[in-house]
Amino acid sequence: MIPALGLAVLVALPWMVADSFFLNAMILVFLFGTLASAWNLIGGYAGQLSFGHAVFFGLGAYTSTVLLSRHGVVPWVGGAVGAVLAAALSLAVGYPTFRLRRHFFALATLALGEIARITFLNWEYVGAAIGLYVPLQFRNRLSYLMWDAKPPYYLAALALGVLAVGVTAVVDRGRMGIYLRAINQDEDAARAVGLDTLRYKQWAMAVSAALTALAGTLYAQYVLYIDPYNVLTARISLLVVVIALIGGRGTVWGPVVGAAFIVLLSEYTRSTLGHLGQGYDYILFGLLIMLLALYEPRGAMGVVRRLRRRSPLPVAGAAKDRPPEAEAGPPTAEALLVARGMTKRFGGIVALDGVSLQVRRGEIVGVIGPNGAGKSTLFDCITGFQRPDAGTVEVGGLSLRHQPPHRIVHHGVVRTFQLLRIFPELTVRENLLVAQPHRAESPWAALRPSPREVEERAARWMRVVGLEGYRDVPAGELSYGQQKLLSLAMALMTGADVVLLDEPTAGVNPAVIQEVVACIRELNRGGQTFVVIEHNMEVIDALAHRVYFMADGRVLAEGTPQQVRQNPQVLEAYYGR
Amino acid sequence: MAGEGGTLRLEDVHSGYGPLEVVRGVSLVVGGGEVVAIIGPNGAGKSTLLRTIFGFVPPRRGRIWLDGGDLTGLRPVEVLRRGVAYVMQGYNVLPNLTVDDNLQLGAYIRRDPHVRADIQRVYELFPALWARRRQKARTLSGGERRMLELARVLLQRPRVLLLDEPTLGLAPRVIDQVYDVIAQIHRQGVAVLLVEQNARTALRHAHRAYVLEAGRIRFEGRGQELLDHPDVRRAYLGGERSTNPSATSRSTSSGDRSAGSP
Amino acid sequence: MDLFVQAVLNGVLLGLVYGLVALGLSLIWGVTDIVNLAHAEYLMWALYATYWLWALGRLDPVYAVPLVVPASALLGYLTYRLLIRRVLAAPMVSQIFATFGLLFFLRYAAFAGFGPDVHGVWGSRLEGSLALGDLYLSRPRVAAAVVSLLAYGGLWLFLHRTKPGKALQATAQDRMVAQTLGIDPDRMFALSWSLGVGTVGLAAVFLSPFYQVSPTIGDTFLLLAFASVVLGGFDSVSGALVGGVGIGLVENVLGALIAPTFKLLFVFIVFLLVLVVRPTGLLGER
Repeated sequence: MIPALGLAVLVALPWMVADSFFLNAMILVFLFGTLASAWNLIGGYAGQLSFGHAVFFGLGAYTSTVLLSRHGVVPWVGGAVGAVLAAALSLAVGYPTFRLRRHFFALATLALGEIARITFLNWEYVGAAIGLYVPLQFRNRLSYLMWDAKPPYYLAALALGVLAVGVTAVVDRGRMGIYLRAINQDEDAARAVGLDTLRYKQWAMAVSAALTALAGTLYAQYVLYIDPYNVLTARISLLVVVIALIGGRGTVWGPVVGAAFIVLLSEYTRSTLGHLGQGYDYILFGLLIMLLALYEPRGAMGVVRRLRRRSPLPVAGAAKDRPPEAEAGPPTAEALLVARGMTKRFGGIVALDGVSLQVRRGEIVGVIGPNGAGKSTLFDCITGFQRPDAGTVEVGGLSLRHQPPHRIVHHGVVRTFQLLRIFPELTVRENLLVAQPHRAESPWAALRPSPREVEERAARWMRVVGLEGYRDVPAGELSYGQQKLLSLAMALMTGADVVLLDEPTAGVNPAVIQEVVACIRELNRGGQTFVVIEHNMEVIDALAHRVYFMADGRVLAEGTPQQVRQNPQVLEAYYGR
Repeated sequence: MAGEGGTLRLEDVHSGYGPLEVVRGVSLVVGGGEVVAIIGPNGAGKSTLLRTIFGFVPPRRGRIWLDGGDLTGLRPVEVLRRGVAYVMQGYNVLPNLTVDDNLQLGAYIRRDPHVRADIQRVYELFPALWARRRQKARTLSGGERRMLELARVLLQRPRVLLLDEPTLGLAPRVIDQVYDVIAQIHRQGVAVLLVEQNARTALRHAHRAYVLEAGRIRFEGRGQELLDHPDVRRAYLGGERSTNPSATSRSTSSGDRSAGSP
Repeated sequence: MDLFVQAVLNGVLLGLVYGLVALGLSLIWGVTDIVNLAHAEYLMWALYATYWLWALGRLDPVYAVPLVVPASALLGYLTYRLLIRRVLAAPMVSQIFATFGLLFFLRYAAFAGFGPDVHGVWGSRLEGSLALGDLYLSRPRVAAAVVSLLAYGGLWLFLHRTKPGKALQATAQDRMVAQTLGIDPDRMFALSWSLGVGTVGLAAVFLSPFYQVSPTIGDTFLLLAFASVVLGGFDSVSGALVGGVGIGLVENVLGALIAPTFKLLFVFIVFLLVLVVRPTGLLGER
């Protein structure tokens, strides 16, 4: 209701205020609001800071202008071509650099900006340093996006701004927003529950670049003259970042709020202080960003959120919905997960030395052994987080060789981490939604909210681990034991056949340990297969059908917990000779 | 060249990381001239306890005393200056500095004129290091690195030495050498608190041991009696719980047994 | 052929200065694990300081060294105390924002104070050229290269021959181990920022006779310094210097052989290629 009313006022504004200085300022607000919203998709939600967005802006401006002035193509088509080119360029840059630490991506985009500027400054076809005039058209103004008064431009810029905010809102409300924020918080944890993080980052980057290019086209049509100094300058790249940061990254309205504040302030200081005004407002922005980095990384929207914030009071102690006690019977003979000859060296140290392991459907297999035995490395190698030097892993007869972690989840093997990896700023429900099955999901499908059955599954797992009262509480505010239970629920949410648990009870207080054990047992009765690394032998006794004992990268013993306990080698490894 | 032994005392110390409480109320004493081991299964909080004593992890509750002085909440640099040295689990050498530079940094906190002579004496104690003094520390073998770390600790002249898994990943022959050096350090009057997962090894070389389980001290005792205790076995290997709580042994005496080293 | 030799010589001379700028970036990065996006803004400010000392105080750049270098070091120290210290434990995104805000602040403070115009020092004592057969070397460039080498040598001696220098290396190699030796990381961080920005001040003084300053030179120099560090590898200050020479050669030799207007383009393309092919640096070990 309020947004609709606000939009109506904004549409009517040019007929109420005819002041052309004001309209010009508003057009810039809309354009920069579009740019900052576009940047926010990749920089805010996905946390990949781009300092080169002027490249996409310039590409949009140049593409439509060159097509119009040299080939008579209308800017509607030229803009679309520019958007496609910008998206393609962003993929080419993002693909290799998304693997690197974040500041490498930031500096790679900065370099891209300089490369574009130098190229266009020296490229005669696009006017080099002299730039290009947009040829004036006096007929069919709408198709040529060219008017002699401000209001039509105002409406066009407003429309573009609405498009950018709309895309952001769709992302924010759909699964995509949750996925991107998860990637921002802990990319490995997102991959561990089956999310193809590279693909989602690329989607966000491409859409961001395309929107930015559209703004470039409109800007060219508005000022009717472009050169490398006004559309390919680092100043635009940096200003866009400043707007998004001050307004509030990772929020729908933050970039727009930031654009209104910054552009209006700049325009008015410039008009009142004249030439002297240049720079003063920017100094203020620099100071503001430093202060925000120190005190409120979420920007203005973070301040708003903090003021509004109510303390979450979860309903504790609600009844648990245990999975049905299905009579699954003893484990079957079917070998579900088979690892053979797994070997992994780090420098001169052999972490895994020919480890073989077999897990049957419906089994709980324990993996025990002293520190440094290679247990977690074994999990890493099975789940694709590390590549073994030798050895094979098969699930249901299918080889997992060289598969990335998210693909391995799709094949039915999921793991938890010894040091908890959840998404602390996402709510319990959102954490579970990140872990929903991604096998047949495309980024476009992820624009919709999760299907009802997925939400129901998430609710069911919340009940199973006793977190239903914490549905909308940020996971970072849960106790450690609850966070462990959440990570268990997330692993189950993926629907994987085999769940690898790395020390599910470490650091958990005894009462919660009983809960975790009961939960795993009952799930297993329902047919779920587990492999558990655990140091607490009581837990192993209570859970494991079979145990592998590892020391120094080898399996030294295998059998029931009783058998392994009596093995003299095991005694020696723990107790010494 | 080591300083006089001190007495380290912990009173109801709690600590952890974020929502996770790892050490849940530990009280213990390491007297001057004692070698005391903390044993227990993985994840019991042994390393976190040492990190808390040294100031890497701030205690949430409780107090830590060195003789009369309060160490609670001090930064690592200050804890070291008061006389508590710490050798962490894994590698403690500075890989891209030479062996000699590593030793010189061992005396970083010292301002006295005897540093040069002390380094010379350390080289006499560890001839293998003298032969490699100009090499980068990363070129040393695992055993040599550990020797360099212990030699470096000697130059810090601690009153209390904290050692976290000093023999982890070392060959049996080197393990004996490491305990020889620890015995030498102990003979100079330094109190040693060491963490070992390998219970038998630890108890062979320590006067006393505490068994840590789930962040709390479950038992305290000496040598074989602790090893044979069914609850200690259970903590490591599982099985039936002992029903005889009186079997817990208590010993506060110190120095009445040699450190078991030659 | 002479053109080629001349380009190689120019590349080496300029590359040594790039190496000096990169040295500071690399030192700060190595010790505190923070990439300072505002690094080149200090260079810009130090260039302005040198310029105004010359323009208003008639002070030759050579004599500006004892003023500009300590002032730069102080600026680095203050940056650490007031800003960096508070984001050391923060997520990387916050650290990037903090130095980005600083970049913006320093750049536009210069804009507000000095305007957008380009300024340069003319008629320094260093001016002139040296003839080497058919080759001509500009004296300011030779001086800048020599000073860079001296500064590098001095820093090398400090890091390898003095106790605080070794403590600095120890902190860069393993912060935790350094603390078990009684090395106070806070003091080492402050030292690295003072030294790192101080060397930038030195580079600025000797760049001033042949490099004009405006408020926006930061982006180019940040990328040049960063490219040098990436090319040389992150593990040593020597890497930064070698990387700087590499970047200087790419710029000058490819510029002379193909087209001078595109010389920076080659640098940035090489930088991107190195990032893609070997993100640990061409000469780095890690």
